[in-house]
Amino acid sequence: MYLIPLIQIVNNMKNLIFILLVSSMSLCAQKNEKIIFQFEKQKDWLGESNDETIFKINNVHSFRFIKNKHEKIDVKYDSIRDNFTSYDSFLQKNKGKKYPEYFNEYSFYIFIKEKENYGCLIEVEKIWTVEDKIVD
Amino acid sequence: MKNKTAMLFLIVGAMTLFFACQKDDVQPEKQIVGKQLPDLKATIFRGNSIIKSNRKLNTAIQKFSPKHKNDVLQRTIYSETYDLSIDTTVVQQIETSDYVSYTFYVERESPSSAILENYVFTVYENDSISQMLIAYPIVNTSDYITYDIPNAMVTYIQDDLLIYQRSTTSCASLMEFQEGVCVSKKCKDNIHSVFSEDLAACIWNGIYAASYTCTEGGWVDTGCINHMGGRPDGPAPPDGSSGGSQNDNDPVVVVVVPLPDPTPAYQGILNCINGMGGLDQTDNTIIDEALLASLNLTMAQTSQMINYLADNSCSEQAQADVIEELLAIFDEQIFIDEEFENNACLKSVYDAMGKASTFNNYLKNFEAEFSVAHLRFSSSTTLPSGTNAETSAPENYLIEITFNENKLNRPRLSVARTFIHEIIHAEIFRKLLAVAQHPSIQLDQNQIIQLRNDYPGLYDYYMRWKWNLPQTPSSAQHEAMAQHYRDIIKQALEEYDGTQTEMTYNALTWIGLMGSGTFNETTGLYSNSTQAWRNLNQTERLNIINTQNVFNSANPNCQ
Repeated sequence: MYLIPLIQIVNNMKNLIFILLVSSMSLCAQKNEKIIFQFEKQKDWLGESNDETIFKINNVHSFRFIKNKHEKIDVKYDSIRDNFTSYDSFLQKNKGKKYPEYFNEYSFYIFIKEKENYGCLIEVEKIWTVEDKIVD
Repeated sequence: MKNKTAMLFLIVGAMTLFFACQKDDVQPEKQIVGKQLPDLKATIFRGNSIIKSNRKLNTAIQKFSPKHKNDVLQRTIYSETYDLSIDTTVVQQIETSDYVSYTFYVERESPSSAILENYVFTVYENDSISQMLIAYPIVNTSDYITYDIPNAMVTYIQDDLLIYQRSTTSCASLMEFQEGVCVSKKCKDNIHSVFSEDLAACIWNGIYAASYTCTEGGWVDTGCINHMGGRPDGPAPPDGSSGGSQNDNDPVVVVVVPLPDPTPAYQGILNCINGMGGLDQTDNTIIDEALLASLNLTMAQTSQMINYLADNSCSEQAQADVIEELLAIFDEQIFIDEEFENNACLKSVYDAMGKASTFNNYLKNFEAEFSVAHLRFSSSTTLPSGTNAETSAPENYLIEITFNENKLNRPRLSVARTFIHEIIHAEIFRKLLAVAQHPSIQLDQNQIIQLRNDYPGLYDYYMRWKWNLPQTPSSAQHEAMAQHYRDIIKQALEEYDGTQTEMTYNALTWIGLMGSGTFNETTGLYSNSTQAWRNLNQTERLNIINTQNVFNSANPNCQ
């Protein structure tokens, strides 16, 4: 009979921790507007090395997560789903602004859905990569 | 930056030590000798596998070793009669239709630094055998060792325990590999060479014109050398002949090739650093032998390091100093894979290109001590049939250029064109890596702005053709090279071979920069043509393609 209140307390604590973490990330981000891309396995790519993970949105646009520099937090899917942006929308939004300076105006996150209603929100930074093999 | 490779160097070394115990001492490790002899099959076997598997050789060598008749797996075999030992860790086998010969390196208790001694055991087609000792005078230079082959001394040997094949009519025909030689002949005015900027001022034609020609080099038979009756520093073998069925009227010429001391010159460095230091040492740092071998240290460098370690009793500080020096050399390396090295076409074009300033200047960017990138040249037989070569973006500071060995059936100048084309790719990667300050090219916000400031052209092309596109990117480097690098390519080609027309050079520079995809013979366009190629009119494009085709059909192939 004490089980249900206990679950509620745990859920409340989870939400509290989430709010605290998002707040701290927001503070670190110095009020930059947050851009959140939802990672989609079908069209995006990620690669991991020892202490960093590279994400490629649309398999082209690269972002980097660095361990000990960026944060990862568990987030409720319902609480974040309305904040997702596509990369094309992001480009459209910044049309006419000076490239690549306008990236400074934003903090970037990638959300990877893991369970039915939860996922991992990963703080990342924009990078430009070259890893192709040139065939002649 | 490149000193981060130090970690790799040492880790690989540690791994080699760990797995070293898994090596099978008698496992035949077969490798073809770098330069093949004509009409001969020359092979070097490591370990004793060849001796063990060859009954006749095994029997003969056991006889050669009265002290250790039953142990053919020891490193050396001793002959009391001649007071010498044969190193059996490396055996050079030369096979012809008439015989098979096995060459061993000869060790002596008091070795002479003036000669290289080889023992050659030959089994003829009719099952008779012969044995020779050959002494090659050593010619020392500061960087490498060569042998005075024409003055080598051949001694047929025998003793009671050896089956001796007399041979007054047989002889050893000594083979020498001679490098190709390039000769630049000046114009008859004795002023202009093919490398002169104002070569056009040379008014002479034909045999009086300036020219630059190279011979290919190869194996040269220096002729039959009569055997000697005795040895200069050992007991003379008994005279006379015994056994054997060689016909005096039908001499068999045995071809021999010097087999140098299989113990690498750098062994002294390994002995000190990898385990034979002082008792008070606690440092476990070791050097991987394969990596040390890949440095191709000169004799002078090797001697200097060995002497330094010896003078300092192999102290930890001396070891650290030598390792630091080795790492510095490692950082300055341009790596050349064995397959590339052994490909006569690729190696000769590479060597000749290295003498031309434009290509060499690019190479130097990778040799510099503080260069951010390593460069590796390799070759492959498995690249797609339409690929001449490919250059990979840096990974762990390494940029690799791989040539397709199946696409060398084209003129040497065309192969040279691929060399300069690929090294420009490597140079662009190197510049991007210098900005990225990372083992691979990953530029953050500040670095991308730095790229815009330092290399605005590269920034522009990468933005236009790769990074700032919502769709699949095109080849930014090819777009940039087609517009801005063709003059450099042309200059490098003229330096390599100054005998072609202006129109030919110009046409060759376009190869690889016209675009990709389906080719339209009417328009001269590819489905994904570069912008610079599109900017030419149709007549210009078709003329260029025609000139390329004429050049390819009018000149001999490199391979």
